[in-house]
Amino acid sequence: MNNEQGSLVCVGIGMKLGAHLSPIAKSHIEQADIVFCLASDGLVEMWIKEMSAKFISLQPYYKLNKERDLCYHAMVDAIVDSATNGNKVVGAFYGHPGVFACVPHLAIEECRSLGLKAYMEPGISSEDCLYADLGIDPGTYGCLQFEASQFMFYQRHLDLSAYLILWQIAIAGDTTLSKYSTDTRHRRVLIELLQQHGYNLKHQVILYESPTLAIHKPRIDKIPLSELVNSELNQQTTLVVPPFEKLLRNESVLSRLDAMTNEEVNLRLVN
Amino acid sequence: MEQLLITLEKIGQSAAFANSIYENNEIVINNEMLGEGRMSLTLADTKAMVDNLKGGHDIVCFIFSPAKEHEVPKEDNKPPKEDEPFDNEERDKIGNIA
Repeated sequence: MNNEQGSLVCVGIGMKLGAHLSPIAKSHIEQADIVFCLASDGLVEMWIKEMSAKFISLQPYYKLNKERDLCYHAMVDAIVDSATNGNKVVGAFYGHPGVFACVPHLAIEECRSLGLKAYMEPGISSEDCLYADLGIDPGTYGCLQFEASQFMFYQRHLDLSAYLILWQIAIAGDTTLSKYSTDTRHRRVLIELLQQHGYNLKHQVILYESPTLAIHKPRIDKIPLSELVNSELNQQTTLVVPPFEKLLRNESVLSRLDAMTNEEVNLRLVN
Repeated sequence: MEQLLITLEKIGQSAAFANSIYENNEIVINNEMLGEGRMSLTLADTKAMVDNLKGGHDIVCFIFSPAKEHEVPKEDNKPPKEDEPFDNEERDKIGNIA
């Protein structure tokens, strides 16, 4: 234990062992009194442990309670308690620590409210790997993304001329917030919801998984939407729905913008 | 184990390995990639060692859901009056201009 005031830095491990850990994140891990770690597989966890003075895995907290949000709060409590005890704490999380991760945000917020220095360093997320592996530029057609269950719980507006990404597709539709996988019944509800939004059952979608080791390839399975029901889904599987419709021009706005451009040109000619 | 972790770390950082991985399962991850003194492994052997050890971890993330709405603090970030969204009358005026 350290007698100085404690602190917390949450860093991203990235997705691929060795490849995505930034120099600053590695430096924080190596210099920490205690590293709390949530990694995507056992080997990544062992790798982080090797560079830590003291290492605590957050994995056991997942099974602590049936309700997952109680697990998350227990993780936050453990991290914050350590920092308030005067330790230089680092929370090392797979991917980006601020993306689809409530624990780092809550822990930082609580530490700051207690007067401790706490901040976050970004990391390479699964989303970043997805764009690279699938050759998608979200800027071309736009990209909407939702957590799959939340997409089902709430009425969301879609744009079928943009990409749609649904995260955590393997647990889609779990209202208990305690499951680690759902079944074909839930997927049928999701498929019907997508059909209601306008997608066709024959529309080709992609099941994507980012590799965590350099010796593995990404999972890129292209299937018709109808086959989602019986596809193998894992906790790290993401559903990518490419654009289904062409972009529709906004002629009234374009006319106004063209008029403005012509005005500028005319002014320049006059001057 | 240490050898395996170092191997995986080094090849994760190796462009040479990344360029060769999809071509030959029998490639040797050699000293050139790992540094002096490291044991060479074939890709096939490395995969076998990983398969024996790698365990899936739970990585399920928080889901904001109807069951948890009451737990989310009410955001006190109401915009100033002049920045409030247009009402229907204002929207109609803009529509007429367009």
